[in-house]
Amino acid sequence: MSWFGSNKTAVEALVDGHYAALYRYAYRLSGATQAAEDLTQEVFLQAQKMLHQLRDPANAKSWLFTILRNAYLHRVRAEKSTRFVSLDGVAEVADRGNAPVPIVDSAQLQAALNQLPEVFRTPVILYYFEDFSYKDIAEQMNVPLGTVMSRLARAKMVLRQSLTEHAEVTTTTAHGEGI
Amino acid sequence: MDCQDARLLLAFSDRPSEKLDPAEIQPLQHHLEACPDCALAAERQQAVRGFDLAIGSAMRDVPIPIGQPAMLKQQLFGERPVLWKRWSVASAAAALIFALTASGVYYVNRPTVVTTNDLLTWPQQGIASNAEDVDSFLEKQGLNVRSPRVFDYSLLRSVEIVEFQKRRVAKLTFIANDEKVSASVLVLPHRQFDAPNQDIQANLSIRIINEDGYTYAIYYQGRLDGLLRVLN
Repeated sequence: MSWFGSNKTAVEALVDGHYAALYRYAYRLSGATQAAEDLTQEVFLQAQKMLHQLRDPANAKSWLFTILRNAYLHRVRAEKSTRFVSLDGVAEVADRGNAPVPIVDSAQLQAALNQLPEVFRTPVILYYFEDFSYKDIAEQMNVPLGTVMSRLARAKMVLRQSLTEHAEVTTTTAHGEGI
Repeated sequence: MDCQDARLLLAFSDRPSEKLDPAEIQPLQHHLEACPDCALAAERQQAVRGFDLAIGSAMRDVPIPIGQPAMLKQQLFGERPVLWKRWSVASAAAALIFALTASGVYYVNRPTVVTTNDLLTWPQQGIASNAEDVDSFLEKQGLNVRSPRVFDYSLLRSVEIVEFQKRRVAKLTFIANDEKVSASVLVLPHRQFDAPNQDIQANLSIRIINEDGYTYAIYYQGRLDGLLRVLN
């Protein structure tokens, strides 16, 4: 038994209420539909086993997102083959805040996300989902609030640069073809 | 308010989920008016707001695979889809009804077990014990007639409905136990037949009896005396 009545009812409610958000999160983290499906499925299988740990249904979403991230990290550690760009120099790069806003394509965004190390990618994904506060993100990642804000600032800057450069390349190519 | 606090509040201010306390908004506003660096940071933050909106929109643009949640539930609870379940229940019910119907039809139409003894004793068994039983049987067949009362019905071997003069009539067959004397009787109601009333010569093996509004035409084999054994 649990807060919904039976475990089955509770897990069904979790699937109905959070499947879509978890799948989107899994997709943005992993960058692949099959991995996203597998991760989302794994989350609910684990949730079914550990349902007794969820005392307050209001925390269900954060709880499930945390399970998903842990499952993802477990997989990534097992694979150990992913290479990411270094963000060491990002802080020194001037943010081009006055640049025109490019049209952001979902696939381009994923390509840019795939270049970010997970510790930067996770907060930026959760940030743009807009359902999570900085505090929520910090708790999910188990890091201080300041660390979250610092990583977010750098990750957002990298994303903006990446997407702006892509837009510039596209524009230049289009102009070049026209000449 | 110092610059560190101002930058922190600025970071929170562009988040829908991080509403600033009204008590913090005015001090932040005063600080931005007095501090050119923080004002520039606020301006830059405002400038990238469009970026954030575009990235946020693209971030959430992930199509959800159709049917995945339902399949996941099946896996979690070891159930088949509701649609499958409905079909399976309907199919099972249909199969059960079919099986019961087929069994019933077979039961009704199943071959009757007949022993050799049944076959050997049948000719000795009477069909009806009296004329009233025969009348009742014929009435159920739609033939309202009166069978002849002069016969020993323990010797009755068959009751048939045959066509005579394009009309349905009853034909009763009596056989004596020694098989040497037999008689077939046609039952002809006077309301349907105007049969001859005179006696027929004895050597023609046919005898006519008129009784109670009926003509009984009796075709017999064997000696007349033997026939008398049949007749009461």
